[in-house]
Amino acid sequence: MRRSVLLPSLGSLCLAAALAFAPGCSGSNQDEDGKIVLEFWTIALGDAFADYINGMIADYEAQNPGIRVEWVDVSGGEVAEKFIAALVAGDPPDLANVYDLPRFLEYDVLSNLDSLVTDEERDRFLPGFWRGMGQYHGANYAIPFYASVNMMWYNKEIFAAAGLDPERPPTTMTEMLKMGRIIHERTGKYGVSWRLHPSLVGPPWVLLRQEGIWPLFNEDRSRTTINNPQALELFESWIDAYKHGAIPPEALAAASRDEVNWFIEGRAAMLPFSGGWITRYFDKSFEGKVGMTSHPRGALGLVPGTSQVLVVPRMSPHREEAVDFGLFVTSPRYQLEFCSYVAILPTTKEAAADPFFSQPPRNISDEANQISAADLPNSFVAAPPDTKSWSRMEDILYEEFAKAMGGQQSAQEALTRVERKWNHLLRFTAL
Amino acid sequence: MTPLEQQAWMGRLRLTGQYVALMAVGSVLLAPFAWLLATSLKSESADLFAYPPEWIPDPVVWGNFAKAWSILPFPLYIFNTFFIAITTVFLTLFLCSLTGYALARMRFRGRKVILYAVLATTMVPFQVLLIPLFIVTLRLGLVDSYAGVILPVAVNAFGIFLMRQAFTTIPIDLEDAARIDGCGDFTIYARIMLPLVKPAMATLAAFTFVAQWNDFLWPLVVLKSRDLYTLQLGLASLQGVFGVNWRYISAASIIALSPTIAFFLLTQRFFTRGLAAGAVKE
Amino acid sequence: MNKGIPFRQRATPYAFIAPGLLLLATFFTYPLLDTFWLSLHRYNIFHPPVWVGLDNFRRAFGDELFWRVTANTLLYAAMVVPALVVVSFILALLVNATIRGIRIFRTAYYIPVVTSIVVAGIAWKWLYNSDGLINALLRGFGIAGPSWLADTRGVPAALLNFIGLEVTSGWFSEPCIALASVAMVTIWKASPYYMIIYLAGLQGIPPQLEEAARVDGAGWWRIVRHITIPSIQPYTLVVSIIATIGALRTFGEVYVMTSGGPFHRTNLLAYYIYTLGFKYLEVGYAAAVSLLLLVLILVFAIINFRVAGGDADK
Repeated sequence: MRRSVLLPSLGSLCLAAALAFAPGCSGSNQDEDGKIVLEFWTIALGDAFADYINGMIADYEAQNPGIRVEWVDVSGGEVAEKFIAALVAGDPPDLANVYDLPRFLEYDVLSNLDSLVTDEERDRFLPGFWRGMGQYHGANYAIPFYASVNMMWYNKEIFAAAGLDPERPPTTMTEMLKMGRIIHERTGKYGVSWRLHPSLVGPPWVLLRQEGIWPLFNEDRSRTTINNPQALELFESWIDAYKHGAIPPEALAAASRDEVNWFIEGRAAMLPFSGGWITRYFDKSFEGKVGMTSHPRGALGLVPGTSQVLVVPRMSPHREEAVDFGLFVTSPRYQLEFCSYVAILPTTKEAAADPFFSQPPRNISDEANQISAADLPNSFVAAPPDTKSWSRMEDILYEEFAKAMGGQQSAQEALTRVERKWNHLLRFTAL
Repeated sequence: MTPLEQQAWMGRLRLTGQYVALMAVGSVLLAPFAWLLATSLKSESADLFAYPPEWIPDPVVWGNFAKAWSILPFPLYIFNTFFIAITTVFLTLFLCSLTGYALARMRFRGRKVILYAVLATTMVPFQVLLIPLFIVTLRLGLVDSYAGVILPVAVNAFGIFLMRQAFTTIPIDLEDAARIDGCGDFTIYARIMLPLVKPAMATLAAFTFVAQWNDFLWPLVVLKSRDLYTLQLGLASLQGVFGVNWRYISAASIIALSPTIAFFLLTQRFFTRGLAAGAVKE
Repeated sequence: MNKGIPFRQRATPYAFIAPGLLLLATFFTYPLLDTFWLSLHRYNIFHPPVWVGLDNFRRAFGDELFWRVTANTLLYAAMVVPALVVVSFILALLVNATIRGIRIFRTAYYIPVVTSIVVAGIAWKWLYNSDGLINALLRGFGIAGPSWLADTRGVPAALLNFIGLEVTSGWFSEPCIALASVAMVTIWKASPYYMIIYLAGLQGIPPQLEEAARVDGAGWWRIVRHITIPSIQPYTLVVSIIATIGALRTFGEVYVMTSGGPFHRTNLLAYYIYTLGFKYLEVGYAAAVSLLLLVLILVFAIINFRVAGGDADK
């Protein structure tokens, strides 16, 4: 009798097992007529850019008759989930736009591009961006797709209401926080639209780098040097600013793009953020109020920039072809065409020097893009430190810094705890 | 006032009270939606986040809907989503009611264990199952197909559980009577029992439809061709790397959710008391 | 013991459950077993798994953040589940009326369920901001509201402070305002869902029962108390179990509204597991934590069966 109980469960188990060990039929690498198929992933470009991407692919296929490119546009911020699932299942894309790279770099998933690209090809790129987001232990694992240099957006109406000159936005980080406090005192609005949770455009550790408190680790990455007087001073100034309303209280509990929304909502006067493409969110009414200038400086004198990157999984059977296509996608011609559709910056020298970026601006987004482009030479790429467990470390920094802002501990306590936890991780992962 | 008049008057008072309560609760539930709707109708020069909120925009701009409609290939996405959702609904209704019926009305060994095992499948967050599930789907050759989106969710523990609970409330006499009449098990299930649990079926249909309509992560991972993309994938791309203004996102979301509301209105017909269910207990 | 019953008859139930269970086994049980297997390994996806026995579980018990997040999750469920059972029942009673236009009301009430959490999250954040709509309304009553999603004061402490009692943290510090605010969104979004389940139950109650009671002179409350509530007991069990499972694996609200902040006070297990698996790529550890979550859910499901239903054996 027992048997009849077990029957269905055993049957199901057998099916599951059969499935698990069935020969994988992973995605086709070659199509019927013997062409190599490259799978190319972008993040949520959507239909707005479909013609651009399809045109580029058609050009490439015409020049390379042996290759067919399959474009997959991954819809949301969840590209990493799809990327990881595809890698694990053994069916990875050949060229993919992904972000938040440290986890992939740490586990050696991506192709080392220094060995796949000639010196000449490498020299086409602005050196800071080539040695940028995909930099890990001296090698580069990512092709810079397009870039953005942070700039300052501010609300002239709120400036005026606070009795500040709308034509004199802050030029330094210190001045920005000071003005932020004044604005909160005089108008009840918040000063700086900024959030603490790790994000691509403005992660909190970038503040340290802007002040020249960098690198955060000793030479052999066995210990952190973050617990120092300059870092303490910086932390204290931001904690103080938070407590005095220079930053919205929600800075401690926000999600992606909230800081942009706060700025557009008119809750906060200043938004140190990415370049011109955010004008896509603006309304006519808001465009009239918005002021734009270059990003405030810290002690280092440079401003942060970021880039979206294309990577080639090591697992791809067509790495060389994928890199070749990646270089085609990032060639000056297509970068410039991309920049003409949306206010972003190129990562190649030739495209960056194009007169396009010094023409009279057609609209607010061009104007913003030029401000941002003008700072290209004064920018550093906000690439995360290439230490193991960085994703965890970043979250630890967030947690302790946030507790200090929330009044749960002092800035010194926060730094001490960050130091202890980071050192623990460094020891732990060194094994 | 005669007692009869008094009664009529009380009835009217109660009715008014009912409407007032319905409206009051409704306005609380719908406040965020109302804001969404208002946003979708605002003009370029209106302040989206103004306080006090502007519930009725001036001027009302229907053009946002036209613009939203033009940014995404809605007809394609709506067809895909509709096809996936409807197929899933039928599969779910059939398979969950079949399993739920056996679990509720048949005596067999392992029944309780199976019930718990079924329930356990709902208990792990989907994010955890994502990768193994993707591997299974890939091995079955279902990646980048409608079937790949549908089959993994065609049966769900919640549906089985709901149907089981619905079948348990039906009196046993009816089944016995049918059995005496010589009906087979499947006939009893299909002809006698199913019509009695119509409200529960309608509930399950409405839930399944909405769940499939709004599902995001699984279609995102399993689909590759834009020709197969669903509405939620399209909507997400509006908030993608280069998003668009909130007015268009709001308008697009309203376009995207209106079919679910229509489906719900349709299935409501079945929520109303089945005549048979009333007759049974007599 | 089943001797004498023909095979055909014994096999029938299994034939009924086979198709459904087969699909469940393929698409859920197998991945679940896989998760179990992974929980015993150190695995970062890109290197072959290394057997570590129960290390991942041991690690969880020593993980400060795991306990913080588990506590949050339990507090969160403790707020959400009872609220959902009660609120959705009241909603169902409201829309169970047979009056003109009731279908419109039912449909309107259902809208929170069909609104995507991403879009709903934006609207709620706008309501919850320190200078948002809720606080603007409170200001009308002379109350200075908090920043709802960022305030980590305990709800009990804040309420006691409000009526003039000075208390220090301790017992009054949980749950915090931010977590309660996230819970509110879940209650808003999910209660119409459970309302529909209750509605199906209410529609199944023979009207004669209530009419008989009414003829006997029973008032509205007595009918609800003595007829309606007992009659829909099986549905209450469904609601409480599904709501418990749903609450314990809540993800979207955290993901779109707070990212778990401030400092993990609104971080819930499902979000933590997601961070472990996809951000840190510690898949083995994430699997272990998900199994602990599964045990937690199982315990609550069993408690639910005992308290609310106890009819699993029926």
